[in-house]
Amino acid sequence: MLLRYQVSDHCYMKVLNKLCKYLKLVCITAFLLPYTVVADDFTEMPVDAGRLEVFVECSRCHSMQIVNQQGLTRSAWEKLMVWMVEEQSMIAMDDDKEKLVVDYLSKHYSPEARKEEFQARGRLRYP
Amino acid sequence: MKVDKQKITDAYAEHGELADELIFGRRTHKDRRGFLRGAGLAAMGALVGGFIPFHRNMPAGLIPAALAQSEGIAGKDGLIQLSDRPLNAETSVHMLDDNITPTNRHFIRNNGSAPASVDADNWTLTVDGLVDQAMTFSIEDLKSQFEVVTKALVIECGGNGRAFFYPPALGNQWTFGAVACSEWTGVRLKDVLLAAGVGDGVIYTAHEGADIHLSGDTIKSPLSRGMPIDKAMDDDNLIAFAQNGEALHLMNGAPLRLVVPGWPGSLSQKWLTRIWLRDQVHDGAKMTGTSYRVPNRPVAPGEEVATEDFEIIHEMPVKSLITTPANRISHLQGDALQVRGHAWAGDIEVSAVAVSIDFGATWQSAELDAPVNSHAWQNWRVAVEFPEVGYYEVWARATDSNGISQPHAIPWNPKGYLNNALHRIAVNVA
Repeated sequence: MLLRYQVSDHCYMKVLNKLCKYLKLVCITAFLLPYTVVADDFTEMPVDAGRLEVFVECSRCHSMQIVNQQGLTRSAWEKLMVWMVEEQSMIAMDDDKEKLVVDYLSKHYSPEARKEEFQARGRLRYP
Repeated sequence: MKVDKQKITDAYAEHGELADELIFGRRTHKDRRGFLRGAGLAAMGALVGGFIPFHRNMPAGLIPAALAQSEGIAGKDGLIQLSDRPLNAETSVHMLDDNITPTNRHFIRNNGSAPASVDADNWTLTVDGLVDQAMTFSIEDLKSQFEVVTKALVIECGGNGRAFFYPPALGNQWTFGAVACSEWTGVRLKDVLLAAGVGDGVIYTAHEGADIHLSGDTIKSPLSRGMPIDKAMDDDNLIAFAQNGEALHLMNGAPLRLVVPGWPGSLSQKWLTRIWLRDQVHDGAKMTGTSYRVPNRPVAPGEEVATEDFEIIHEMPVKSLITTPANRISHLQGDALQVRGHAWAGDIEVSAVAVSIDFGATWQSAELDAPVNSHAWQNWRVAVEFPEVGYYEVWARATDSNGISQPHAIPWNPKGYLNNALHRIAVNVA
């Protein structure tokens, strides 16, 4: 309850489980303050390869709430990476990481993946 | 241990990295992550309630979620937050019912972070570039040297309505509420430009603000747009220091901003520090590429458009909103339903508003007020009656003084601008 991690896609999980026990103890001793290391934005991201990398790389400059609004094609995500590096002072990722990040975004934040949400917005407008 | 979450949230909203340093003594590594030499890690750990295992990954300026106050934005009421960093928030359409939008219901659109310091007493505005005499003004100078005027002025984000585009367009997914008409007090931009003297060959303005680029790069500007000099000389453009009779809200550009009604809100530079005049189209941040631009021709939804085929957006199109009643209401058959809202049309006026209860087959004229001044929105109202019980939609459609009406279908374009499709609400008559 105290921990909202959902990083089962990562090998950190085992380490994390041990840390959980330790942290719960810390929390109890630290006046029961709620403990979350990462923003809710992270826990809401689909569990898949590249999740942590996407969270970390995007969150350096802006929150995942910006990403979470988008539904873009692979080509649009690729162009966006170039634009952010060339014009927005983003630190370039190495090729492997960029592929991982673009793979994740193109899969989970594509027009197709977001179609239902966008159609739901349409229903809001067109009741 | 008592933690004032609101103060911490406010500090992070103003300037994340400064809050890192002031609250926790935190400094990050060169890649803007982690805790340099561990500085601040223990302090942050104590407040969030434990050690932070992935501290090396934690981005600079990120408020720990455990400390984030999620009960809204200080000084704002009922805004829907689209994103927290940068902070962007819009108003529910039924909360835009006031003729003059209260400050706490004025939307927030940011490209970067608010400046760390917004000291009105020491704020200066520089007017330079192709002028006869470069000038620098304090806010007091502006008030004492130029006529102070108050006007009701519409500011609308160029991307208002983007949320309804499919395929989706990149950017904040605004629905209806990135528009407002507050009373702004300031001096005329025109008067200030004339005092400095508009040089020969000037064709464009360039605006600069004190906000900070999201990357933290202090050389980069998050937004610097400009407009043709003819538009700049319009009497209704203000260099404003008050909104609805009070000092500007931090997130609406305190202590000084431009208000350029009728054109995309991005021209109304917040935290205004400099206006310079140029003999070329301004090429600052979000002026080039496809930013605030639309194709030079109608395009199919999803069509790829070459960058050179995009043109800078000038005037915003005619539009209206139904602000009362709210969407999806139930109504008793036999009683007339009082419907009202606002309508506006770029630099010109709205000449008619009509509503339909039969999906656009027939239309009924609404009573339409003149604007309280040019570039203010116009209020309209109409009583509609329903012939029998059942499901109805009330559609509203404004027509501008050139005879141009709002479209029924969404005018799709790649960047999701200028969606002025007519607004409609659902009414269940029982």
